[in-house]
Amino acid sequence: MARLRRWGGDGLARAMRDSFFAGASRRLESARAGLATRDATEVAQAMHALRSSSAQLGALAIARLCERGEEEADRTAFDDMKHLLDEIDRELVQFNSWLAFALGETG
Amino acid sequence: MKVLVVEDEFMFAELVQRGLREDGHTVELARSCASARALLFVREVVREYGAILLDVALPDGDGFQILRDLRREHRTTPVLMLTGKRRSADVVRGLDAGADDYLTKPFDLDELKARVRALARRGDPKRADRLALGDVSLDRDKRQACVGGRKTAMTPKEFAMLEYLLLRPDQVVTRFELLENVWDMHFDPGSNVVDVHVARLRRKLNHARLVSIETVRGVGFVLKARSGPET
Repeated sequence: MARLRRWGGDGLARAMRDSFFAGASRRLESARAGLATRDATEVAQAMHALRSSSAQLGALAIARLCERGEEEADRTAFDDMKHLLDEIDRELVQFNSWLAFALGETG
Repeated sequence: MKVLVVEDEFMFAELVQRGLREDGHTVELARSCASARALLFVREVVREYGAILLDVALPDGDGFQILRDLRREHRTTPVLMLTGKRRSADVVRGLDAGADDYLTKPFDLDELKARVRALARRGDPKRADRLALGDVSLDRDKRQACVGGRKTAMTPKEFAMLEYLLLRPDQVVTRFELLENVWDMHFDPGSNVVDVHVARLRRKLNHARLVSIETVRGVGFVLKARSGPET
């Protein structure tokens, strides 16, 4: 994020943040839908995409959770998946607050 | 250079496009295998790209297949695979399918830009890293312009326009040619965008004693070398 700001200012950082969260909710939704139908490919694809984009923004905790989700989906190991998706959801909320602070949007 | 970016994730697509445009490239974006195929194989007049940045995991298929199909048609456009797949088996698969380079996400934007420049050199072995006419020169890799012995800051469009003109010294370059190759517009927008940018570029070439941009009325522009001052 700091690198993005250096390169394109706050405007770019905000644009990347907004498209990241728009994509993240779609991916999480898709992972939950995949989990509901036991579609391992859909879950793995969603986790894969979310891992890449969160790592790009430096959200390493989310990236690690997604990596675990992708690996488990590849093994069709769904036992812990719901819990994992909830954890990603919580991390996303935290990351959003942290970004708002970093971008000077909190009062 | 014209670059096709095949990437479904909006954030990456946006980031890559901005980075490449910053480097003076024109970018076309495909967000699925189907639209990439439409641009690469189905169009009546198939556009050739200077380079292709290809994501592996696309919503309707995988990028490896597009790459294999390109190579099957003996098309040698340099391809950089851009993907979150980090296992060496995936890298090997990409390179074996005919990729020229492979970059994993997350990536550093400066590294991506450098790799695209390297692809451009590979794609055109005759490409000169430095262009010069009189006392105006461009270092295409470092993106630096030098006018009358001074480093001169240029916007990406000014740089791309000067690069285009330096590749065609003493030739008339039409406004439409500049629109197509610098702005990637394949129609006349009916604005004076080219003239405005030429005026700005002329101002930046003020320090050049030996080069000028001349207007050919109703047609376009010529980058001309003047003879040096007599001593």
